[in-house]
Amino acid sequence: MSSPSPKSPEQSDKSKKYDRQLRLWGDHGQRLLENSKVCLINATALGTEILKSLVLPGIGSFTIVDGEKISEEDIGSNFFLENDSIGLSRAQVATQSLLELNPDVRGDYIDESPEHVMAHTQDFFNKFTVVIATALPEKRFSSDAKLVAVSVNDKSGVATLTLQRPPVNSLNLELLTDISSGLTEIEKAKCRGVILTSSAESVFSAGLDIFEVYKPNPERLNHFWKVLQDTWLKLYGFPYATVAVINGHAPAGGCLLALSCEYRIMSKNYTIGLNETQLGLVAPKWFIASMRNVIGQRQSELALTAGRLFKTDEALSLGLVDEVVDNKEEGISKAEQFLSRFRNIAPEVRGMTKQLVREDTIKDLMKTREQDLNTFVQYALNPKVQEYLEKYMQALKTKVLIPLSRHLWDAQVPLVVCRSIGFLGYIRLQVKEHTVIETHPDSENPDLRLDKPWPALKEHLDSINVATLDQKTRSHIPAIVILYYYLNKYKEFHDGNVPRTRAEKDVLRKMIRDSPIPDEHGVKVLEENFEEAIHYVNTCLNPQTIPSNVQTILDDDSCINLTQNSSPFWVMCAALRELVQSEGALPVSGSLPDMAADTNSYITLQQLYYKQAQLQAEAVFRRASQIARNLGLPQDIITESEVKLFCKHANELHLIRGCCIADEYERTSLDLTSYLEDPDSLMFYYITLRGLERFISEFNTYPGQFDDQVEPDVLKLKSIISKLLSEWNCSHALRDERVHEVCRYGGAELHSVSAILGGCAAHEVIKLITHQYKPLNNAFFYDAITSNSATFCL
Amino acid sequence: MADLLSVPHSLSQKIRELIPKSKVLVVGAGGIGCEVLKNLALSGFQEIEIIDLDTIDVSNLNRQFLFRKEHVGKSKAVVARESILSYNPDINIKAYHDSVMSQDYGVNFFKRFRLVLNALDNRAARNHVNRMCLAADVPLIESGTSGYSGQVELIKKGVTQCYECQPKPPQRSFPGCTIRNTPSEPVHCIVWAKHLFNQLFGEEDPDQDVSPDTEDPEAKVDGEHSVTDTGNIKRTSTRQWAQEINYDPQKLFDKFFKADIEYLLSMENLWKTRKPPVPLSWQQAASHSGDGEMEDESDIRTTDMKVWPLSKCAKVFASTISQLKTDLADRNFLVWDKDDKPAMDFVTACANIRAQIFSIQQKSRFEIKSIAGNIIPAIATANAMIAGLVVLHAFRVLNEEYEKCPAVYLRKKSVHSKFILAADKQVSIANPSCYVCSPKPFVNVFVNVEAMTVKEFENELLKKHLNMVAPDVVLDGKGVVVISSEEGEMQANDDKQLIELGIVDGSILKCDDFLQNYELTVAVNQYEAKEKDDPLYKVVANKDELKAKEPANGKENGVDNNQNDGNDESDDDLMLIEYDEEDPQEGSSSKKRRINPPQDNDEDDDLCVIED
Ligand SMILES: [Zn+2]
Repeated sequence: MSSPSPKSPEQSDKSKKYDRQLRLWGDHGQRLLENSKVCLINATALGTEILKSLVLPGIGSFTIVDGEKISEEDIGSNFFLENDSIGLSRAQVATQSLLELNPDVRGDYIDESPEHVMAHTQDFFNKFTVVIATALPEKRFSSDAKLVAVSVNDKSGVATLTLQRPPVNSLNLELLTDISSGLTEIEKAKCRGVILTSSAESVFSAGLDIFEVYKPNPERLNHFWKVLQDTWLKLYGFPYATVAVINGHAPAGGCLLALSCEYRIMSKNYTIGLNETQLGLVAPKWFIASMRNVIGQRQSELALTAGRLFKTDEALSLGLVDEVVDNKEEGISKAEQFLSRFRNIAPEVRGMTKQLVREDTIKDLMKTREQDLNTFVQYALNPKVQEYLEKYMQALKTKVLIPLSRHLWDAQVPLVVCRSIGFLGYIRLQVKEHTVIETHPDSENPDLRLDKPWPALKEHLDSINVATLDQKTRSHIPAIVILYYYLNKYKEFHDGNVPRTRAEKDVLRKMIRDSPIPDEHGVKVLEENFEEAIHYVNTCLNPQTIPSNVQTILDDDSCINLTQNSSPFWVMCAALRELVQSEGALPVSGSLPDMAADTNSYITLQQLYYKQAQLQAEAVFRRASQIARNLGLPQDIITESEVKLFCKHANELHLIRGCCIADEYERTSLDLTSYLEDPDSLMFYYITLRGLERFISEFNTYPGQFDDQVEPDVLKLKSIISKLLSEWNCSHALRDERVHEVCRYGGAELHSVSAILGGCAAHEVIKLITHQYKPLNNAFFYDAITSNSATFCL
Repeated sequence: MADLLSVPHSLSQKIRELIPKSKVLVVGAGGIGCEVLKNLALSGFQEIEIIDLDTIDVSNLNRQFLFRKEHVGKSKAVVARESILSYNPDINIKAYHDSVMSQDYGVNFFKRFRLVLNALDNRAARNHVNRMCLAADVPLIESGTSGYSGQVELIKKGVTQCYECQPKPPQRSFPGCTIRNTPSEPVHCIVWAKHLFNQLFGEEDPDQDVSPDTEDPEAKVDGEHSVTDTGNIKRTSTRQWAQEINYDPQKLFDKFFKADIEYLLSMENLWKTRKPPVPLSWQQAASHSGDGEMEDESDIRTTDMKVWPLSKCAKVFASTISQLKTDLADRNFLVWDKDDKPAMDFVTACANIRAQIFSIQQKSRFEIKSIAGNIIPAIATANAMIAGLVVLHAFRVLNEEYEKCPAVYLRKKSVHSKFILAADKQVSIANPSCYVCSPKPFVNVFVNVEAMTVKEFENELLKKHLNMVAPDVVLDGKGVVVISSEEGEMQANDDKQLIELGIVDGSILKCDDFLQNYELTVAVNQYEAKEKDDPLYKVVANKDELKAKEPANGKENGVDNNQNDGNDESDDDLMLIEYDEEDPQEGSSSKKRRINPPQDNDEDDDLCVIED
């Protein structure tokens, strides 16, 4: 004879490994955890700390999205990046280290920025159970690794050079460098022709990246312009046939690229033109020449001086573009048709001819390169120009957080946004709707229904006349029977009311205490079960009411007006609502506390409670299944075991309807008066953090990131914060030392703070995944200097 | 100054300079210990020592992230050191696979450190380190977690209270006669089953007798001494008898669950106000029907979660006995371990059979494991938070900003969520009558000098309760040496009653623990246990506290966290949570506070910035 051993040792190992946490959320919670897919945006120290605390308890899988390369600073604060990994993909290295923590967990990574991922795969983030983002700015200037894609069709010999610098292919130093090297690559491949196009949906290229010109570093500015000259020279004088497939807007530098090609095919309803004057800039001579060579002196002058942008059809009639198409695909095939015109012409001959046509224009620039550069640099550094640019800037920035937040809000995927900076930490949960069945309240009173017993229970309890029992039976009956008996006696004397106040309860207690028959010595010995009955007077006689939060759920629109999109939770709620309407109370929980009693009478009683709970749960299950059927939902959406759990915890149901982060950021009024009167309110951190977010978005650095910039940054941050406050119509000012403090951190993460915050965020993510315990709603601030934290509902 | 590069910039210059040259000791490499080590390494600490007696268990892997499956069975301290070194090989880190309570780690050992960080799992070691740090005058940061809760506090001699300033609720223990004669809760049966395991396979301990207790005061009939003498069973030890019958499961079953119960029934006084137990024979149990078969025996989760039917209990009883008998063959005794399958199965089966006999609710293996193993749920998240707080405290301690280190609490719920993490407003000051950290430690003990032996006084009172390691005791005024820490020196006294050495009501004993550098004056008060549930002895620092409330009931929250039958079988990160009636919403300094605020109205009192 041997004891039954589990079939697979692995399974038993798993429950052994997770033993300590199963005691918090049970098997069903663990199953949800093991089926979850978690996405982490940015593997910062905080990010990996969060993921560590999720990988250890065994989530199903994780995906890290992070386009950054590992820096020295990362190494100093992040345990999961090794010393020798500087310069490698942060996503990749973090994924590998985290996977070592738990062989049950799968993990992968994408070494691209989240905005890049969003731009290319719209629904990428929809597949996750929860998305966590750390150090994700409100907006930022994109920086991407691969800015240009080159593909060569071996059959047709046509190369395609696709600009892919989301969102709008702004021509910065890196993109230009990549275009230039892409052309070199194509040149080596001995192609018949090149198609220049864009991966963005509605933009060919938005032109020169104004960020290169706005508050520039002079050295980089010089370099940038030289590379622009080089790229233009290369494209303009490219030996092979060139076609621009302009599948979106092409202002300024975008137009220049198109004009440098031999042939232009443009999709309908976009705009094109050299609009520099509109931006307060003067187009350089070679820009002008590029246009003049296509549409002539007169039309060029008119267009350039007004800085006009032409609609596709206008551009066609002007000769600025050669063909109009409906979409990019059609554009590509037209471009291939154009290129096939040269099938019977010797490439060398064609090339030389082109060169002769374009020679003068090219020579003009070659001669004046240095002068052109100086003019540009001088011009760019002119404060007036900078002022113009400032205004234009904001529109060109990629919003990062806002679109992600909106997207996930619509997709109903929870988003957790966190930031750790110096001694300051912040967690924000965005959930459109989150429902919890098991909230694990601290204390639960037994649900006994002695004030309103259902018929079967009443019949059983009424059948026992406690006062007439013999000594032996008396000491074996369960406390509940005793309590019920004396409760009825009490009611007889009190107009049928149950005791409510302490004094009234004392009367009932006394009735029970006085009940024993004195023994031969005249001493009343109170049996254990009677002691228990007295003990239950306090907790078990509260009239059965429906908690207000549960009533709110039952009255919720989602409960009353079900649709095909209703979740099982709401279908069960609707069924529960019907039960409550007919019975006037929530279903009985069905469990009976331990009590001193003989087995039979305890079990009889236990069975009564258990059966009633079963009956009610079955009724709810039947009704829920029927509702699901009527709605056309799949049959298996409602399971009996889940309905049982739901009914057992009916009095602790919990619902959170959150607020979208995008709405929070776009809101224009915020009444902070009540908080700001308290100088210790952590609401100050909210304001500081919002100011910080805006600072990062505007200047692309953290305040105080560079030692010599701390003081100027303090001023900048202060002015940002006072602007924010005035936007919210708030008259308070922030204490200076808070701003100084934040600038002193210089954006650096303090590992211990990230550890605390990471634990806290992972905690909340587990609550979201397991649908157990109440998650925080909805923003958490932590101040490591005072060790205090606060939660606000934003 | 190259070291400074690895110290975070956001810290003040002074702290940044102190970090690399401060030597720290981490006591415990469990859940919190792993996290603390990582945080230290990433904060630029260069001189770290780590001590832990434990080896790595599978159930540690869900949170102790420096360990992998291949490390199971190895020393926690040693593996933790290696893991940290693989992250940063330049740190000087020394590991001791040893008990911090060993005589090797005296006051001079502790004096070598600028700071000690406790990441311990039991109260005895915590008390000990507390005393060592007081004696060495080294600041100590104390921490613990339990499920979703936790706390961190600084202990610094002369500045803050010490770990023992506030009496902790005693770890729950049960009177022997409740366990042996009149169990009324599942836990009584579980404790009995563990004792039975030790009687049959473990190290024999006379305090863990499982047979009927004829000395039960309740069983005595007025005037008479006891019902009968020791009965007809010959007084050979249970172990001896079991060996004689070659661990025949049927015979063992019939003795413990039939003969012994029948004997209990003969003690009629016990059953006047109680439901009498029903003896159960092997035949009855093994053929017990009507409880249905387990649905899927192969699914560990099902067998763990469901209450086993009686017939299965009997089957498991028999099979585990033969397994354990085999295990015992090449050893002197077995040590009960909740994670050892046959040992845990045996206790589950025995506890449930006994529960059935006494009409007590039976429990699933999972639940019994919680109670028997005194398991505190543990997760990575809470440990991460607490360890982060520990190292932030460490920064302040290096800078001697002790007053900026008030106790910080992690709360389980976000219901009263303004303070998931809450700090006291200031550090808690020492209790002037603390029997550990006050200038002249003093304590009143209440014992029956006519009944208690010197050995009991030493083991139960001085070692177990007052946490001394190797005490020397002298009867004040008379110069009589009662107990000596020298092995064998005073052995002759062991079995004498206290009174035989002249210790009576009002006697003063000078107790000195050389290792802990701790001298305690003990005033003896005569006391006799009257009620059945009265403790054998009491220890009171301040006589006024005598009227203080009874020990906190371990059944708060429906979780028997504090249940313990005396042997410290607790899992890591055990923290004893204390309850009192204070309003937990106040962030003010308080002697003790609730970790879990009472649940009332939801988030309603959360701030709502915007109404949509
Ligand atoms: Zn003290």
